[in-house]
Amino acid sequence: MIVSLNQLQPGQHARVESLDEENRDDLRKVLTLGILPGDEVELIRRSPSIVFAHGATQFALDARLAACIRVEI
Amino acid sequence: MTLESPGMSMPIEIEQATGEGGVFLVGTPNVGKSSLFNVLSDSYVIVSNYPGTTVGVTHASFHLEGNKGKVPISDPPGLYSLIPMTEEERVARDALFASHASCVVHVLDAKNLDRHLPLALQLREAGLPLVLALNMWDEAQRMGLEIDTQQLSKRLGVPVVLCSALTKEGIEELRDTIEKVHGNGKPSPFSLPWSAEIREFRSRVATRIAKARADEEVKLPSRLTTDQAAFFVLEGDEIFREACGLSAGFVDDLREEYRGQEGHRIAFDTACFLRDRTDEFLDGAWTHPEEKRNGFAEKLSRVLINPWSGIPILMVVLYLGFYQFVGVLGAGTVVGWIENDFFGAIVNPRLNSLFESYVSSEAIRELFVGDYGVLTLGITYAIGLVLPIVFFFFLVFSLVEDSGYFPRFAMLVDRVFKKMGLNGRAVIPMVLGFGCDTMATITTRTLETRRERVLATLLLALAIPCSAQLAIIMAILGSLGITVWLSYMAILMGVLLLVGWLGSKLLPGEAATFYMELPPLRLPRARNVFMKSVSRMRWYFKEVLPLFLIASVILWALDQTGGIDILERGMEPILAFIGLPVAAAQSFVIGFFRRDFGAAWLFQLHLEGIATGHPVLSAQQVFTAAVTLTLFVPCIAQFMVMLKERGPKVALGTTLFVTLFAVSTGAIVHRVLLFTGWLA
Ligand SMILES: Nc1nc2c(ncn2[C@@H]2O[C@H](COP(=O)(O)OP(=O)(O)O)[C@@H](O)[C@H]2O)c(=O)[nH]1
Ligand SMILES: [Mg+2]
Repeated sequence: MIVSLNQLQPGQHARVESLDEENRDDLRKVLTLGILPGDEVELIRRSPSIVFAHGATQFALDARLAACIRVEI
Repeated sequence: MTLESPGMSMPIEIEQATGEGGVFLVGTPNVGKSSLFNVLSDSYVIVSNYPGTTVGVTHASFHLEGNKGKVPISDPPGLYSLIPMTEEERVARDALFASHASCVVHVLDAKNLDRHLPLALQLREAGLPLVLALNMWDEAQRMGLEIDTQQLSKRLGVPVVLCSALTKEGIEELRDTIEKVHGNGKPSPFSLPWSAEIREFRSRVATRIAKARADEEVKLPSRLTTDQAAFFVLEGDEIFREACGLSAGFVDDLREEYRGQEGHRIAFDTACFLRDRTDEFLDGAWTHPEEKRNGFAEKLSRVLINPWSGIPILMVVLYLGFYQFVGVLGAGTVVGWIENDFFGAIVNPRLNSLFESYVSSEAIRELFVGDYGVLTLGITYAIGLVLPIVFFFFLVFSLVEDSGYFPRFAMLVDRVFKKMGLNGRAVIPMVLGFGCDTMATITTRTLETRRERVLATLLLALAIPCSAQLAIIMAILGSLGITVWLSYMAILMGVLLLVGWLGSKLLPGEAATFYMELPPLRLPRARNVFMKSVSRMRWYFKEVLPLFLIASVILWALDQTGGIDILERGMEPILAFIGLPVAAAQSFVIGFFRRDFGAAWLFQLHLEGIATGHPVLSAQQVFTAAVTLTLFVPCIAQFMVMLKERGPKVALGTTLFVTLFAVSTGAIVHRVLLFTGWLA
């Protein structure tokens, strides 16, 4: 099943399926973090911001950017 | 006034290129560039566990082996990619290409090489004389990571050195390597096997740039090749696009054409391509570490980012660190010792009698030891009052900063900040503003859009009192009880939210999105916290002391010529409007020079009133004056920085707005107090 990153439950692991490429600026930010399809991510928190682990690094994002990352569970 | 060292890092002049043959550090934020700079150079810059604390380029000297002289070394802000998204990234990128550095040291985190190598590949392709410094080797070793630097170096065609700015391991080798590259000049040619499509689109842009370059219509750095420029422009670099004289429409059309043809945006394909090359380059030469975070630090991090536990902890940190340590201990006890016991009881009386006996001119005596004397007012306030308060503030700030707490704070408040048209990223300037608004205004560079930078500048000028001012106001209002103090804070908060909200509605532009790396929590090191506080302190003092002295002299001159009376009379109707006596006018006049100065004057007035048994100001008036003075005009130093960073329109507009807003708020507070009879 494919959902966006902010729909994961805390503690849930998933694989990035694709990125929303509609908005160029948002895409660039996600790419800046080094997130690409195929990567493993783990959701850590959903509020007040989305926090997730990508490898040994953790990132905080707002809902809008998190929605650009589609993951497969 | 010197603006060479805006607190977070030193010079803000970006145009200043490293002359022929310098060393230039580059890398993502928080990989240890500033730490390495401190180890390699003869100077100190601020190191911190927060992405975005270096906002300008710092220059110092790198000494060559065996008395062969020295070359400049530069520490710029971090950048995630060569296409800048924030002002500070732009500063770093522009300085890199404008420099004639003979050695570019790309600092990478050895633990996260896979994440950082794409930038190295881009730098490599740009033909820069590169050294890769794989920093944080101490941490990587502890994780059991293995790196074959020889393999990597062979594959990439540039030297690769393992090092640690913390343990100093590998630093000698890094020095030697830098010298070698510095002496050698050009690196071997290097290019990546880009897809035919990407190459074709790039060459279409490159043709246009080459033509413009031939016609000399282009303001591109000479170091940048035409192909590189084409790459940047296609990836979304608006600054280079404009510099090449290409229209946005032309480039957008190309990008859309690519997307229509390939199904993905070109930026996406580039990122995927660089990732694949990274995997190839690292294959067998670097092992992916166990994804394990330090157990305790990770648990603590989870507690901090959970609002239910994080917000109470935040309150405790604010109360103990800022209220108790800075306010009560620093501003109360220590200031009491220095200002009253030392200056008040020992130094100033002696100075007074000294001048009495040797200087016959009354006017000259007044200049040094009178009510507005350079010594009795300027120096006493600067050293006795401001110095201890600001130093205590910077100690706490640096401690919190080094622990890695601020990014977690940022993610907690992001939603509230969004209501003010900002995002979580603005916590650093906002919190720093409580120390020094001038310094904070400079760090608004870390914000992404001009709209956010303007809003943050306005809010700092209006509703964030600096530590010296706040401490004095705390002392005045403290005597009136905790409710009064809380009401004062509540009014400031209300103003912050209201003006932020209105400003974000009025200023055109989109809401800023929030994204931030959460670096691991680290135990702050005492030496670094101390060095950093001293370094900020030194900057602050260089800014403040001259202004204090100038303010004293101007006030003295006004006093001697009767100018103060004229100003006071001029302010009378305005003061009457907010229900204050003429005696308060001086606070406002002085407030122009230093925010805290004005408050201190008010405090003096209040104390004298109490001492003589004839209060000049009633409790209501003290409260109204405190609120109005806090909101009132930014100090001269802050105004200068606003002018420099945001331009005359924003600086003057903000000042005008702030003045009108402060007076209106004062008038409202005055009327509400009269009406309700509170504090009467
Ligand atoms: N363990 C370890 N920590 C380091 C090393 N170099 C820097 N740090 C820490 O990493 C953080 C970021 O350092 P800084 O020099 O400010 O990074 P910059 O943003 O690249 O300038 C600080 O907390 C440093 O103390 C290193 O070699 N080993
Ligand atoms: Mg730095």
